[in-house]
Amino acid sequence: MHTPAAKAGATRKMKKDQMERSEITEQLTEIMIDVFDLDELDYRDDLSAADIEEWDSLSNIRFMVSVEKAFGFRLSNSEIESLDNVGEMVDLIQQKLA
Amino acid sequence: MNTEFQQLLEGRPALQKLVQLVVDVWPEHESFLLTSFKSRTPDLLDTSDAMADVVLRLAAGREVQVAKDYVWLCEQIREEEINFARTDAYRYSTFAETNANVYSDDAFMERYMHGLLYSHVLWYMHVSSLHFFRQRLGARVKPGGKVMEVGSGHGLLIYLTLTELGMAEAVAWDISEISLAQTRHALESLGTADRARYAIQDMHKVQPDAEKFDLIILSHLLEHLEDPVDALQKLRHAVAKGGYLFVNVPLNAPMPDHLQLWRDPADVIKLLEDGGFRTLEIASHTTQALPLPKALKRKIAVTCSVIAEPA
Repeated sequence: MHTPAAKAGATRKMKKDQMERSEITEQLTEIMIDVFDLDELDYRDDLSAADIEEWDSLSNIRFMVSVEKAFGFRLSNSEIESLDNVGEMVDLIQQKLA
Repeated sequence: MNTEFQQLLEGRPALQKLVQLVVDVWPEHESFLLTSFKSRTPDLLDTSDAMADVVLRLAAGREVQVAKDYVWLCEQIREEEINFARTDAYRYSTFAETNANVYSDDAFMERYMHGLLYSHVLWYMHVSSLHFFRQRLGARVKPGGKVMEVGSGHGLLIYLTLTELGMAEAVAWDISEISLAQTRHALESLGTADRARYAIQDMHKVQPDAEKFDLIILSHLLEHLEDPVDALQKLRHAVAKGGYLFVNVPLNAPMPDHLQLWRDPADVIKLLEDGGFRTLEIASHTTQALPLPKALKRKIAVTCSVIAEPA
């Protein structure tokens, strides 16, 4: 089993090779399960706060900062507040890692 | 306001007015407020309405501006919450820093105080702590006594002690003339100024022969200090025999002027113990009425209210 720190390290190492979208969504799913206290999650690009009861303004900050830590970059405040669904988050992660 | 919200606030006119003021300037906040108010028992809604009446009297003539300042305050806190989630620490750790960046900025402080005024009603944890104050402290304090509050700000708690708790006389302590003037103005607006006195007093310098009080209040004060234990130890000199200390302190609450980060109610009991006080009752009021374990695990703000006595 990988520790979160090891995963974050592995993620940073992969930056050069551009992570596959599926790898990003897999990692994002794990983060969402942890942050939103879910038992499981069927990932879809159009998942949004409306679909997940625990995803509110309070937990959104934890979600975004968990993404920052996992993928090794910093989001701006406008980026933190402007994303409508997780698909857009995946797009943004790909841009940041490019 | 949507129909569900209107029904929830029916028969509570001050609450209706306050919520409408805020929703008018910040429509996106309505769902957060609805969640907050749906979590409240009828008793807590009564306290909310009573406090809404008081804060609207204090905001008279500038109600809309105060609503805008509440929105601004929430934006400031959001910045702090992002920083807190990233660093697991408050932004500043010394009084010199908060003084330079917060307290000495008059325009910032005015908006900050305005925003906090409405938060007493709109935030579950704040109104729940006021409810605890009315109910639990009211059950212990004998009418006719003398109360002192350090850093009394809007004067809400002094007002409640003089009206609902039946205390006879109040004294406000502060190290700032401007802050004392604000409390004086507030108590004049609320019609209780004739039973209040005001004094410039540093609580780190209280002497053993100090004036004694039946109740001392430190509400959202200790987290602003570099040495809260020393302040508590000195304040013991000012507690009358059989008297009480009432404290509100936050856990995991990043604000630009908070220095002391406490993470668990046990930390608060320990703080009071180190300061020479025995906790008689403690209540934890969470953001949006979250279950306490969940709030602590997620490091979401909690207010702890404590009734204590000298150990």
